[in-house]
Amino acid sequence: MRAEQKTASLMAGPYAAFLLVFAVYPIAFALVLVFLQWDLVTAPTFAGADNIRLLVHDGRFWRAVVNTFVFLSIHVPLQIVTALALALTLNRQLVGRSFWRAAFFLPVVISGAVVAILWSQLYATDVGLINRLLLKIGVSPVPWLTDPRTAMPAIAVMVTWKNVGFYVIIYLAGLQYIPRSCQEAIEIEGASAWQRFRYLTLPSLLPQTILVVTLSTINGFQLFIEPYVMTGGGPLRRTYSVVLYLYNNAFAYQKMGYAATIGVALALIIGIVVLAQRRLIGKAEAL
Amino acid sequence: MVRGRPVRVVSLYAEAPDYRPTGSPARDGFEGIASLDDAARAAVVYLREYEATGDTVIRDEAVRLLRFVTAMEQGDGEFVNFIDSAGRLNRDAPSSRQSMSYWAARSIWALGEAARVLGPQDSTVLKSMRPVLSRAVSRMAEEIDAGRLIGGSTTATSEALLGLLAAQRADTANALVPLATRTARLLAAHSEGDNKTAPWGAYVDRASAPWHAWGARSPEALAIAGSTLGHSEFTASARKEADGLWGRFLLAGGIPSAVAPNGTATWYPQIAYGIGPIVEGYLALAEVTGQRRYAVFAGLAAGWFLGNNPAGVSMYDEKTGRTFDGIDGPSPVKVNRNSGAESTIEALLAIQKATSNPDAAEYLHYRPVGNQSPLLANVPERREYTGPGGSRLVLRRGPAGVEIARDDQSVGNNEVAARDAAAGSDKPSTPITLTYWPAANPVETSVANRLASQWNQEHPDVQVRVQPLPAGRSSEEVLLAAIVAKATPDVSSNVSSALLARLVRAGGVVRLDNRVATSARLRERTNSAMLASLRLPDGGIYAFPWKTNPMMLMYNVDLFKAAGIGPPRTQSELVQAWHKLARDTDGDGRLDHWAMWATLKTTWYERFYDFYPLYLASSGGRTLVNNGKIVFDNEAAVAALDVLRRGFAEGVLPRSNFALGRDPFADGTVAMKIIGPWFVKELTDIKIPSLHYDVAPVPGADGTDPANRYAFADLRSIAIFSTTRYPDAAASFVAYLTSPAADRMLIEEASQLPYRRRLATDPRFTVSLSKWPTLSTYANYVERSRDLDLDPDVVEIFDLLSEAYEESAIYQTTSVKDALAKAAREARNIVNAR
Amino acid sequence: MPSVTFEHVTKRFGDATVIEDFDLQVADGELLVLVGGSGSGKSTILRMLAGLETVTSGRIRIDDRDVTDLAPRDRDVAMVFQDYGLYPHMTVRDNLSLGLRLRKIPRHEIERRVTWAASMLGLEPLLDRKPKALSGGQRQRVAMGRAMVREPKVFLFDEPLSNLDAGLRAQMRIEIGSLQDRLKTTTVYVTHDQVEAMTLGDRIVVLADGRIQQIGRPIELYRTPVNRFVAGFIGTPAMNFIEGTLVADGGRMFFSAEAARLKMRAGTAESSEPITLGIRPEDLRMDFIPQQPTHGSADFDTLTGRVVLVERLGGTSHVHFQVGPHRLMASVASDSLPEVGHDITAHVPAARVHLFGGDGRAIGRTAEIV
Repeated sequence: MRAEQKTASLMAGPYAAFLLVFAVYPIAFALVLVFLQWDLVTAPTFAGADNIRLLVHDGRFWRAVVNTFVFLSIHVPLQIVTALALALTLNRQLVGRSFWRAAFFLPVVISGAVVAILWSQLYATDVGLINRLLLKIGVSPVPWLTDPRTAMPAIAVMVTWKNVGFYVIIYLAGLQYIPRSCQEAIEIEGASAWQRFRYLTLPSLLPQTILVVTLSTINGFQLFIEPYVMTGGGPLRRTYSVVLYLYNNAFAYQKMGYAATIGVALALIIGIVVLAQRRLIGKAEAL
Repeated sequence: MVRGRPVRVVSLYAEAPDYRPTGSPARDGFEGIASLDDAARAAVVYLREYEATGDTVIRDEAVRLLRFVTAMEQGDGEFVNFIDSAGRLNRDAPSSRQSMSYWAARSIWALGEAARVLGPQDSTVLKSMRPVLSRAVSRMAEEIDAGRLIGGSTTATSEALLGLLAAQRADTANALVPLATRTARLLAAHSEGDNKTAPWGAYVDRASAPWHAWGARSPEALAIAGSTLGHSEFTASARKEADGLWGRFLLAGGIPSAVAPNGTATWYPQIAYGIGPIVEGYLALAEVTGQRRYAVFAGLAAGWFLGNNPAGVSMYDEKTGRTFDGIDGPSPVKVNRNSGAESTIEALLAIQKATSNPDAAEYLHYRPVGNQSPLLANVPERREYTGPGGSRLVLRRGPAGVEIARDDQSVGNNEVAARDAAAGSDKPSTPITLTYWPAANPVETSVANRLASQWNQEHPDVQVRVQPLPAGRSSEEVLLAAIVAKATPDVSSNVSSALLARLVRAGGVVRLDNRVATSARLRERTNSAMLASLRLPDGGIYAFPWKTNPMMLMYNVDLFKAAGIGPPRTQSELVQAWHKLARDTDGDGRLDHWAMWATLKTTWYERFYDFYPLYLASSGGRTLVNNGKIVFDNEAAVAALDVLRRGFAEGVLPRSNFALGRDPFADGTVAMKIIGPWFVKELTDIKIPSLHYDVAPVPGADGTDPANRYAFADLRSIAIFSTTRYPDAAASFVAYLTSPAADRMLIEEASQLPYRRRLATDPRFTVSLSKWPTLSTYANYVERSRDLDLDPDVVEIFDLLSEAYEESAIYQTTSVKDALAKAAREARNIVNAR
Repeated sequence: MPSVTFEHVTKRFGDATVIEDFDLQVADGELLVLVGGSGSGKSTILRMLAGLETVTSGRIRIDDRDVTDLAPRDRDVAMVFQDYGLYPHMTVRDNLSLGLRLRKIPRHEIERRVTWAASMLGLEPLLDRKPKALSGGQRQRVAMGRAMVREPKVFLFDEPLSNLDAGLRAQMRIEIGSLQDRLKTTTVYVTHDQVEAMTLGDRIVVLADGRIQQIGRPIELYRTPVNRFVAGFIGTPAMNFIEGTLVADGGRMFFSAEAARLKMRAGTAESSEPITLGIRPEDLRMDFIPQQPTHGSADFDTLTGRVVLVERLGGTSHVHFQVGPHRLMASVASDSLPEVGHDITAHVPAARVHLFGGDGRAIGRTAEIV
């Protein structure tokens, strides 16, 4: 057994080293940074609990948290609905099905910055495609990204569009697993298409939906590239996400300690939210 | 008091050891206690010092001396020289008679320099001087046109010529050009001999007269005449004496006090009055021809003041500014420790110039090796000089006079010499390499490459390698990463002030005002007012202020004409202009052409284009944070935010972020833009022939003084990182990057402005500035601008102001006063939490 | 009036014709079994009846109502699937009641029916469990219950017992049978297992390649298979087959094959085609002569061979013996069994012999079964 253990360690070694350097060390460093003040150029100084105290009273941080929750409240349901709808459509025998599947998945793998720039153009108030189309049907142009009421929803729609392919795949896989006999049985039992969806398909996809909710929540909390590129956090700080605030603190204000504090706080918040989600869903499952 | 007006005079003499000012002794016929001769030259010294430092106390001294000068003019362009202690003119002594002679020539010189230095600003002072100058000039013309040297002296004539040239540079409406040209032509004819024949090109009063070291100003005057008047033959004439006679001095290892027409040299007494003009002549040639060797020679010659003389004594006392009169000798070699006005003045003039030239400054402490040659006819082909640290300079005779055969210094390379000496080698071994990071954009990178390759050709021992930053990244990020990784270059330009503050605190950059090359360049390029905001608490300058881009209001001339308005001068006029220029051109009921685009983006640096310039235009120079105190909650900030608010509230500022890739000013969608001079090149590159634009100062709040308007200018500096192993070599390179020639390249290729004093009026840059439209106007604001505060939290403060701008101006959810108060409060919290 | 009618039903998948011109009538209350190998088309027929497959041509009627173009939900049928098809996220009670809830049956009626089905199938203690907490047999019963509460016109069973183990299968067979007796609902039952077919079916339809081989009562198929396929399919253990020819000899017909010569019944017609002789293992009677050496000579009515394998199955045993090149099997009582390697003689009663022609069709079936 010794030899086996040795082989096992050797095999696992490279990746363990990789993890140590690129995952464990940065996390540990970040935790240490919480108690320091450092601007990357001068030597770090000890700050005690100052950063934590500042964070608790920092209005801008909590506003960013609220913004993120606003984003999630639009994005997650929208994500579920669109991904599910697309998955159901793509589950049939359509012409060019492989093409459509690839097409919907493409935005997932395109760089977020590129997509953000593209959509900035689409959303542009005067020359953007969306407003021009609206104009054709007689609707006056909407200042998507510069009106405080529409900016975050606009971003939520964009992020949904970008990621939908990924969740479509998850749902498609889930759909394959619904036994054919159940589908036929419920058809024979007298279910209309909607009833089939409601009583069979949707409940069967509960594990996938849980996954979609969890992943898009975690992802949503890390919203950064879209506000950074498209709105800079405005208008009126409505699209100012937590990670954007972290980034500004780290690289614009050069307060690494405080930025690390924000990061750790964010991780904690995500953890709490995901746990709460699991609890709720667990209860729903038990019902 | 002279003729009823209080004047300042300069005592003629001061005897050792107590140096009390005394008057002319019996030996000279009791001329008087003070002379115009000295006062005029003293005025030139003060004027040049004021030009360098901007110190108004010095300016006032100069003005008082100039009053004396004008008081001594007799109404017809002739002057009297001496006065006695009661202020009475000595009209009798031959050295004092009313005439157009030496002292008149020097008065013209002083008055000409006054016109140049005091310039358009001090019109009141000049009012009294101009008539005097013009009378003197007319009187001078009589002599010149008769073919007579002023006072029969090349010295006096060349000093008067210097005055004419200075006045002409100040006021290019050129009544003086023809006279100056004639004067230069007359002067040029007085050179005797050539490269092979004694006296080797010397300028003498008459063919049979000896050459005197004192007042050998002809080369200086002719060189400047050649460049100012555009006649290169004058410069060639200047070089005759410089390459011929003076070259022999260098090879001989000393400067004689007189040279006979047959070439016999009289070596003593050496006087300061004799050395100074040679130094200044060399420097003028260096500037006009661009040949560095002249600057080196100037440094060698100026070394006389600092100990490179037969007595081995420093003649110039740095603490008091006194210079000893000279060295009597030959043996025993005796220093005449008296300090007369002439000595001190001439020394100051020469030292002033030499220390302002980085090339000259580095050779001030070199000494010739070996014995001085007694005969000028028989000087060696080579002469070696050694400098501090053992570096060697070898001069040899060449076709163009004297050339540099070998130069360890290679400007600033004491380190190589030290290394070689330590290694026991005699020849320079491998060259050292400096890495240089220019800005990340293609234009500046190409300028950097050109400059570096020129440098590399001239400095085989110190090679510079240019590493352009990756495009699309901000230099901030890259530099930060390099700092953390400890992989910084030797030199980097485009360092912003925000980063600099941190770097200095971390000890990451080298101090520059105490290194020979960079301190000389700082003296040459800036004055103390310009450096004041860059000095850190210890008084040091830690980054070389390289270029600045003041923001002004650029406007579309045609659109304004069509709207029937001129560029706005106050904020009310600005709002009016906004109203007049916002139009609906396609009849769909919505405005599509605007007066100005105030961006809706809230990233902190976007305020450089709206709030901050408007604020600085009214705040009288006040910025955001000063020494850790928040100072922006004032009326100017309220006004700046309010005018923007009005624009949005009244619907005349567009609520959109125009799409990428399309500049709304360039295509005529907006008629105004607050922008800096780099944009001129961008506009020219886009090639829109129908676009006619001009710039005006950013309007201030109503009721503020237009003379007290400051522009926002993003100053970029060049820094030497303390990780460098060759700080002196790096300093020399930095001095090179900021030389007039390099600055001209910056203007011409990048349409950006060097941080130079009096850039708008400096004739060396007129041509370059005129290559781009509006750049001359921009140049006016180089000194009247404010940069970002050197505060570590300045970025965050701008973020807070962006928030205030959004809330109160764009979306009007809070009042301007409240938004500003909130921003100030939060800013104070941040600063206090430090 | 027949409960279910198939009229000239044809089913094509692309170019392949799976069912060709299928005609069938199912009597009211009958349990009709469709049996055949895989690919025989039995499931397709069932699914066409359910409405889960379309009919390429032909008509299907239920109670004289043409349902060919109706959706499954409108046909009033209920189906029990091979993998049960229970809704995994619902309790048994909800599984049973869903169909009724979908049709908006009043709640008390649902209650009644669910209770009734549960009690009939012994599901009462399981009503609140989820399918994953049930055994295979329990799940099958829930599936049946789900079909029952619908009180449909026709029950459709698609190989419902295939996923169960042998013992359970036997038990469930009985239950299904007794259920069918009680409910008397017309049932169409698909299976590949001929034992199920034989025990459950009122009538059996043997299918091969989409065509009916034979329809009839189980005993008919057993005694008088119309072709070699049915003969070999029905009956366990399977019928023995020997290839040979019919030879006339002295006014009597003989079946002649290598090492075998058997006297045929009187009235057996002459034929020149190759003939397959079939005799069920249970129809063979054994004599063993342990000592006498054998040389495989054929005898009238007997086949002589050597025992190669004896499978003892308790009461009955299978004796495999080799007659020349033919490998045969006899099913005998286990009282006295030969040893492997012994010689035996098997008597072939002519009345039980089946003869099949070159095309597999049974021949010489004019006489009655003896």
